[in-house]
Amino acid sequence: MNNCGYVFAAYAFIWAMVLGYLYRIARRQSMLEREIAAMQEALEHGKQRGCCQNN
Amino acid sequence: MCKTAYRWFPLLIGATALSMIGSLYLVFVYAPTEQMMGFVQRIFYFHVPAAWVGFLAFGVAFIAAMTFLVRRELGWDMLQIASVEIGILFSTMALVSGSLWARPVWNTWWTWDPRLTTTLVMWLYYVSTLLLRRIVEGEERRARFAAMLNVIGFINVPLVFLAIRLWRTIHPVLFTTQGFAMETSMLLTLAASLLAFTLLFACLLVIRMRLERLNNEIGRLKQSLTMLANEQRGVP
Repeated sequence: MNNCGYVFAAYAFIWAMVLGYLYRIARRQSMLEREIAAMQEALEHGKQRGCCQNN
Repeated sequence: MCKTAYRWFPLLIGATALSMIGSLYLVFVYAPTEQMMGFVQRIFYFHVPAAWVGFLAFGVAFIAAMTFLVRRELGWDMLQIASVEIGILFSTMALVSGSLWARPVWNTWWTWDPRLTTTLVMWLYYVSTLLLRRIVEGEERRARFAAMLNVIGFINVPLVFLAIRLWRTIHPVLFTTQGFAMETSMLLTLAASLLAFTLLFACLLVIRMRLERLNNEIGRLKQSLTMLANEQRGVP
């Protein structure tokens, strides 16, 4: 029995799962970081506007 | 705890990469070819560690869930989500690699053997917990609900491990009361793969926890923005 194809498929599947998962996390992380930066900017902007209105 | 984890993270990645390369060398160069099954038996060296990490991840999720139910700190909820997700990932690897191993050896892709069936039930259960937690409103309630599901679901994990001892099965038993049913070189290769996969689990857990922290930060900022908007509109 040789069945190299099954061994290759199993190892390829495992690596594809790990890399795919890492890629998904990396994409989501950069999206969240962008969202956080935008929200922090909006918050700063809002605070400044609030200060101006109070003055 | 988090800062320490990030400080050690480059070292952890280095150790994981080295142990993975080492284990691949051992799997394909050092380990002897098994006499009955031949080359296809080498699936075993990644199949068993994938199953082990699945158990480990669900075990970590169980501890995190129990701790959350006692302390009610959301950090433990983040750990349970991250760990369950990684557990599902590795259990999927174990199921698929097992199926690819079964086809040439058992002449079937799938059989309703106790080990395979209990593993599939465990996998379906944990996938459902991730989906079910989305339908619950409120951070605290959602976390409590998920923690309870994880505590109950963990009953399945020892059952999967013991399935080949409790019932008649065609799945091989490797760890018996007499010791390990394999040659020393094979055992060494398996140990190296187990170490590599455990380190990989630690890496993924740190990365996934960071994502959860960012999610939390978004929630906190949304709250601040709403409060600010209400203040400016004069809403109490």
